[in-house]
Amino acid sequence: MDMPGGKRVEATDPGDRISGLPDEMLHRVISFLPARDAVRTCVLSPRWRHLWRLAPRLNIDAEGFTSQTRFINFVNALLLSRGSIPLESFWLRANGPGIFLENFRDTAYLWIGHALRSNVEELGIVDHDQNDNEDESEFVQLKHCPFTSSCLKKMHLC
Amino acid sequence: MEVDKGKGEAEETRKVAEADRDTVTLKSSDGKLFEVSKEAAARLSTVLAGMIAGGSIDDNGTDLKQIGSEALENVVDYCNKHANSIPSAALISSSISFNTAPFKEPEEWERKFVDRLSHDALFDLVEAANFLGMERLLDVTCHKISEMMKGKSPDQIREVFNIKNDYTKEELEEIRQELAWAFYDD
Repeated sequence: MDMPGGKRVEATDPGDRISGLPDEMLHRVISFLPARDAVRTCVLSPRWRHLWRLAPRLNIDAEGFTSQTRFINFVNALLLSRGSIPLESFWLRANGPGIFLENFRDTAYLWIGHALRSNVEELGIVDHDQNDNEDESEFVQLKHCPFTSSCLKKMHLC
Repeated sequence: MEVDKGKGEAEETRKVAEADRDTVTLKSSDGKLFEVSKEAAARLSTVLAGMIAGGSIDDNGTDLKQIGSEALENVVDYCNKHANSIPSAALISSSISFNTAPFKEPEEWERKFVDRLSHDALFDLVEAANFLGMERLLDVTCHKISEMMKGKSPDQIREVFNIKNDYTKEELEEIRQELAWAFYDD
């Protein structure tokens, strides 16, 4: 099939339908994965090595991280390593055990600033109060939020 | 160039009749015909919208040589289901901003629609949606593929999709070092 707007990929196994899709489609598939799963697709085969860098949606999820430090290191490295294409959506879910955005507010603000400078259209932040899991944290109430954006169309705070 | 006036008029009449119909007929690569709501086709597919606006659809079946009958049946089924599933107010706003709207989770019927597909039928549908410029159907099908990958190890993903790992051991080691920050807690 002649694919508009995407590279044809040669020499994939005929039974391997996914690797034969154009890059654009694979960016879209990777965009739906939690960010760490998205990066890890790079080891599947050489075809997949750099695809994650151009995924237009980021779902950063603290679930599965064993420490706050590792989570912060992961997000910093991810944002520095991904390609500089505009972001359609940026979700930050700080719902891992012992991980609260309020503990590293300034760093998290840097991430959000990065997303807004990448012309993000949809921004989502999920965090809970350290003392009461049902309440919104101070972070999510954006009490100290210093941002403006002309691209943002939709924001979710929960 | 001499223009056959009679033929031109007949062509005009045919085009008017086509414009009056509220369905369009699509023909698969293997010659099967499918009827689809014109409104839904134009709203969900940028390619069909362009063909409808440009008058290049054929009453006897617009040829889509790149799409097999099973995939085309799924495309048509999706369009018709979509036409019946959203209230008209939502339909008006979605037709304005469909391509730029943030991703919305698949609806229950959309999940069921892709869940029943075989592995090959799912990929045939992704390719057809890509060919026809169907943003929403691409999101729904690519979301389904991502769910087949989520939470799985690289080996498990390779098995599901039949991906051949042609990295050398050294290359894999190099990648894991370069991206060590993504491979802690393995």
